[in-house]
Amino acid sequence: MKLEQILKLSPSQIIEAQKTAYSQNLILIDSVPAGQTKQGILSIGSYGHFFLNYITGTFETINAGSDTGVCYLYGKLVDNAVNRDLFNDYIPLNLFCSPGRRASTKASGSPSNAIYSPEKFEYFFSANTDIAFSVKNSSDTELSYELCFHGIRVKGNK
Amino acid sequence: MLSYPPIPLDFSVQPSPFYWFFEGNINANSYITKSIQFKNGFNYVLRSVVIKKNVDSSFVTLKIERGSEQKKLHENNYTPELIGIYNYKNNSKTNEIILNQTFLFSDAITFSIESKQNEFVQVLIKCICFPTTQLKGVL
Repeated sequence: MKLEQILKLSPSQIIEAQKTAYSQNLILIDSVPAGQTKQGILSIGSYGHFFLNYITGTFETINAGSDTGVCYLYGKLVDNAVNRDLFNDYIPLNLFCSPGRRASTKASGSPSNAIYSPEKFEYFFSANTDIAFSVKNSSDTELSYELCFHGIRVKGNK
Repeated sequence: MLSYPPIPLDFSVQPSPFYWFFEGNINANSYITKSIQFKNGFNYVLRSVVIKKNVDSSFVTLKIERGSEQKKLHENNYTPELIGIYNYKNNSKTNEIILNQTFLFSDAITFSIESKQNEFVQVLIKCICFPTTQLKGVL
């Protein structure tokens, strides 16, 4: 719907429209043990489909007790509903996550080299399915990451 | 403000983003190449390519060719700093190059990356794949 069309709607019509589609952010927070691969699962739920617009994310860059600034986490995004890989391989998080590297309480260091633009990634996840994000950690330290999926919830499950 | 997405009726045939990734070491005054062959049944729009170098220098050049025609998407090798958009703060090690080129499933893309010094490069290729039946609508 275009802006001009929305501006012609009355407030009550806009409230009605919001009952069927509205902005929503889904967050995936996980940590991956040193040297291991772990799959993070984000459930879309039964309330409706989810149209993903953008991905943002942060992660830690700790190794051997110091914040090196090197990205040790590689991730692979999968739509579990149709078992479709959205990445061909594991991709370093620092190539697509904004704001990216963040300071950790585990070690001192200046978070820098952050990407300033969120990653545009338009994909429709259906209701009652999962977003699967498998992550490899090549560091000697357990590292955490947070991804936020910015999108639109579309009510209904058909 | 709300914006309403197009809702595909069949989830199995919707256009979807697809990211390719490769990384590798380049010896001084040498190069690496990587070819991507697309899957049958899908056409692709190559949106952009992100290149991350290990060293903040201008000793790396890039060439991208369309496989089916042996045709360069650029006439010369370019430094990513020149044709890319800086997407990292305070350095130019990482650049994103906007391409927006359409490829048929029978096409291949070949990337050649050359360096005058020892380098470690990471390359992220951002595509959107469309079932071949939908390409007409895309073009």
